[in-house]
Amino acid sequence: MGEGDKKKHLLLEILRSLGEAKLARIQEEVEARRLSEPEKYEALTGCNLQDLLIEMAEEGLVERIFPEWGAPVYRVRENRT
Amino acid sequence: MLPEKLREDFPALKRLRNGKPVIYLDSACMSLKPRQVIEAVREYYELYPACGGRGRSQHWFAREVKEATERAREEVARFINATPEEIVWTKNTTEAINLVARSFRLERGDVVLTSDREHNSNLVPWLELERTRGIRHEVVPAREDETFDVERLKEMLSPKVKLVSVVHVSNLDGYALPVEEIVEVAHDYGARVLLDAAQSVPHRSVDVSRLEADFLAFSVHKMLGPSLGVLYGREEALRELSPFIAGGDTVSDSYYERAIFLPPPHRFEAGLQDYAAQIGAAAAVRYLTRVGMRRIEEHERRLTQYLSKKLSAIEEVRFVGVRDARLRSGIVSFRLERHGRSLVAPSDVAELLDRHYNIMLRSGDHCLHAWFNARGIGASGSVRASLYLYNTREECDLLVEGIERIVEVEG
Ligand SMILES: Cc1ncc(COP(=O)(O)O)c(C=O)c1O
Repeated sequence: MGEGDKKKHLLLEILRSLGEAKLARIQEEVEARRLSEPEKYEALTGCNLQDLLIEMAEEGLVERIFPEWGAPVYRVRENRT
Repeated sequence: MLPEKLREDFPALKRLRNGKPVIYLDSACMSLKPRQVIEAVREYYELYPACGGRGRSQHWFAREVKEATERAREEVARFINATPEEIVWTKNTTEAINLVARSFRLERGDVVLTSDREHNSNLVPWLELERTRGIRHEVVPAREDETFDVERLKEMLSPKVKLVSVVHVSNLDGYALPVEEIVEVAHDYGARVLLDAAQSVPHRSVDVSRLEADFLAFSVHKMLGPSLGVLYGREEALRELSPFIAGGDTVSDSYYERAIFLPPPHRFEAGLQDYAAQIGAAAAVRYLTRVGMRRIEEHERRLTQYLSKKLSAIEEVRFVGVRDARLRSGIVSFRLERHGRSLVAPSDVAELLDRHYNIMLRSGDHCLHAWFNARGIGASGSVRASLYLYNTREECDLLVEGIERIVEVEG
C-alpha cells in the first residue's frame, strides 16, 4: 500500500469508529491514537487532514455534508468500501 | 493609526466577492503589493528586460539593469543599516538559512542551538546537518509562559556551540525574542548568531549594526515586494562562508583546473538572477520607508492589542503562544475550545471565514510542526491572523464577528 492509500485507510478506520464527525473531533481522535499507538498511526503525522478528507470525498470514499451554515460533517460512504 | 488612504495603493484590496470587500489577514505568509512595486517590476519587463550581473552583456539595456540592481542592493542595505557588500540575494528566507547551513564551517560534534519555536526553515536544515554530517542540533526550551529562556541558553552554551540560530519575531504569535541579549551571550562564547528575520524586517525597524548579529535572513515577498530573499552577513562573517551554489557570476576567472571566486556577496549569487524582483525590492523598501517603520510597528501593535482584547471576550478563544498579550505583535494565533476540547477545527474556521466573510487567514501548523507536535495539537494547529500596515480596526471587528458567529453555530 502506498503512503497516500495508507493514510486514507487509517482515516477511514477512524471515521468509521466515530460514525459521523466534524473535523475537530476527527483531529482529536487522530491525536489520541498517535499517542497511544504511534507506530500504527505514524502515517497520519503532519498531514493536512482537511485536504485528505476533501480528496477522499472527491474519490467517493467519504461524504462531506454541509449544513446551511457551519463546518462540514464527514461520514464513510459504505457502499464504496 | 496609519491613514486608510494608503489602502488605495493596494489593487488587490479593491476586489469584491459577493459584493463584499477583501479582508486580508495572511501577510505573515505573503504580503499584498502596492502599485509602486507592481509598476517597478512592470517597468523592468517592459523597458529593459535584459540580463544584469558582472561580466555579462554590456549593451544599453544591460547597463540599465546593472544600475537598477546595484541601486536596489544599496537601498535594501540602507533599509537595515548594512552596506551593499553585506547583502546577498537569495530565493527566500529558507534559501538564505540553507546557504549558511551549507557553507558555514562546522565539524562533526559541533553544536547548533535554536529556540523551540523555529519555522521549519530554521529547523530542518540543522536536522539535515545532524543526519548527514554529525553536527549536533540542540533546542533551548522555552519558559512556562512561552517566552525565550536566556538563562537556559547560557547554561547550554559551550565552546562546542558554533552557531546560535534563532527566530527574531515568531510567526506563531509575533513574539520578539530578546535577540540583543542572545547575540551578546552567544558572542561571549565565540558562537556566531543567525537571526531568522522573516517576521521582523517587514514589521519593525531593524538596524543590523545595533543588533550585531552575524547573519540575518528575510523575505522580500513578506514586505510588499516580489518573491525574493535576502541574506545579510557581516562582512567578516560572509567571508568565512564557502561558496554555496557555484557557477556563472560567482567567479572572476576559471581554468580547466580551478576557479577564482569573487568576494561576497557575488560569490553566492550564481547564474542569472531575478532582476525584476530586485528592482521591486527597492520599490518595496522605499514604500515602507516613506510610511515609516516605527509608524508601521505602532499601527500593528495597536491593532494586535485591539484584536486580542476583543477576541479574549469570547470564552471559547484560547490563545496560542506567549501568555502575555502585550508581547504579541502583528500576529494572533488561537484555537476555539470548550472544556479543554477543540470546538471547531482551525481549518474549518478558516474555511468558514473565507466563504462567508472574505476573510483570508491561515490555519494549521504554520510550518511550526515541531512546536505543535510537542504540545499534542499537531493534527489541528491554530487559526492565525497576521496584520500589516493596510489592515484596519473594522477588519478586526469583522473577524471577531465571524468568530462569534462560528461559536454560536458550532457551539
Ligand atoms: C519566521 C519565518 N521564518 C522563515 C519563513 C520562511 O520564509 P520563506 O518561505 O519566504 O522562505 C517564514 C515564512 O512564513 C517565517 O515566518
